[in-house]
Amino acid sequence: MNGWRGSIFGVLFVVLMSSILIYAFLGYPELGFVRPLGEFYLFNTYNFENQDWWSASPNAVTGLLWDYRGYDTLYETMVFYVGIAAVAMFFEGHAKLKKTGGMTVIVRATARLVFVFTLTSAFAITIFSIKTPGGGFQGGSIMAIAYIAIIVALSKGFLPEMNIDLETAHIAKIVGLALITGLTIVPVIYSLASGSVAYAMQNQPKAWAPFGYPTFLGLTSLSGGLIIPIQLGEMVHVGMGFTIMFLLLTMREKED
Amino acid sequence: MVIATTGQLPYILVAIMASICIYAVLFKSNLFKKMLAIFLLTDAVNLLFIIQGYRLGNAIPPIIPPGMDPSEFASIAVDPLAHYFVVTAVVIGLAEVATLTALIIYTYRHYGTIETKKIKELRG
Repeated sequence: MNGWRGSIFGVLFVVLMSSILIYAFLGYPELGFVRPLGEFYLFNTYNFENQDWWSASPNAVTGLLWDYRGYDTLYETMVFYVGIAAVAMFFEGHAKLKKTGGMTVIVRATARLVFVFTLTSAFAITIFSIKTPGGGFQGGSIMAIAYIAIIVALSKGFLPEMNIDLETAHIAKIVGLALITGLTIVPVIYSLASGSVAYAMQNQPKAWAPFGYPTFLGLTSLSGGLIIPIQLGEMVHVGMGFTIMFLLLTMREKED
Repeated sequence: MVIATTGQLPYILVAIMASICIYAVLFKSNLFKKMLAIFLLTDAVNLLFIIQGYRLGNAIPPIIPPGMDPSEFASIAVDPLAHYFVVTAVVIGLAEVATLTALIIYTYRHYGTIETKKIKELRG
């Protein structure tokens, strides 16, 4: 269907589909209504008086990330891993990085400076995500931007000079995922070894399950407990994943 | 007859955005346009989450200010669950787009086109 007939069909389709969706959405609550589940998380995330259910993270979204919906985060990270693995599978044959001239000296010097600043901000956003907006995914995205700036300004071939090639990036990505999954099962191993109750992904100690990362590490005041290393693992995983994706998708067919 | 109230107007925006995306996914023949539509459809759903978790008036972000009572915080902060779902959905959406982009590039290298109509006409 081309021309005006196609346009009329398109408009009619959008009007009909919008009407169906709007009719479905009318059953939804009006703006301003927060569900009891959301209020539960808000009330408990940093509630000193109810430490059996708290995450010790002032940022409720970060608390949700691991303490309340940890399996979601773990599987989401795995989905991302599989997505990047699929891209790598398509383009793995073109893995050699050729060094070309890149841009001018000024741009290259600036790109190096920007790289350092961007990477620092990525770490800051990740580590301070307990108290401020941000997190592992946001930090990882910023980390990837640092590498992409280098790729654009200095060419892909400069990455091996910084000890980053596709293989290293893959290894770093796997290490990030391994850190997350490893920290997931540490409480289970502890439980089996000590005979006490502990849950996979347990972060803060409970009255009936005394395992908690802050107390386990001897750091009673560690805010958020497990969340910082988890976020760092996520940052490395996402940052390296994006870098691999960008490298592979921008490679020409006969680059190798 | 059902009439939307002012508080439900943002849902209408989401419905129109989602409908346009569904149209593009179903009827556009260019694979890249289909992929963009899928990505925007994800954003429409994310927008729906954010709208549902929003609070009118003096709402604050879901980060507890120092010294604030948890009960007060729970009564004025926006829903953190909506934000959490969006963060998760964005990561999954990006993995999806990465895979689709790779598939489209692969299709282009194999067939020399990303138009589904032309690919259908090819023989051999």
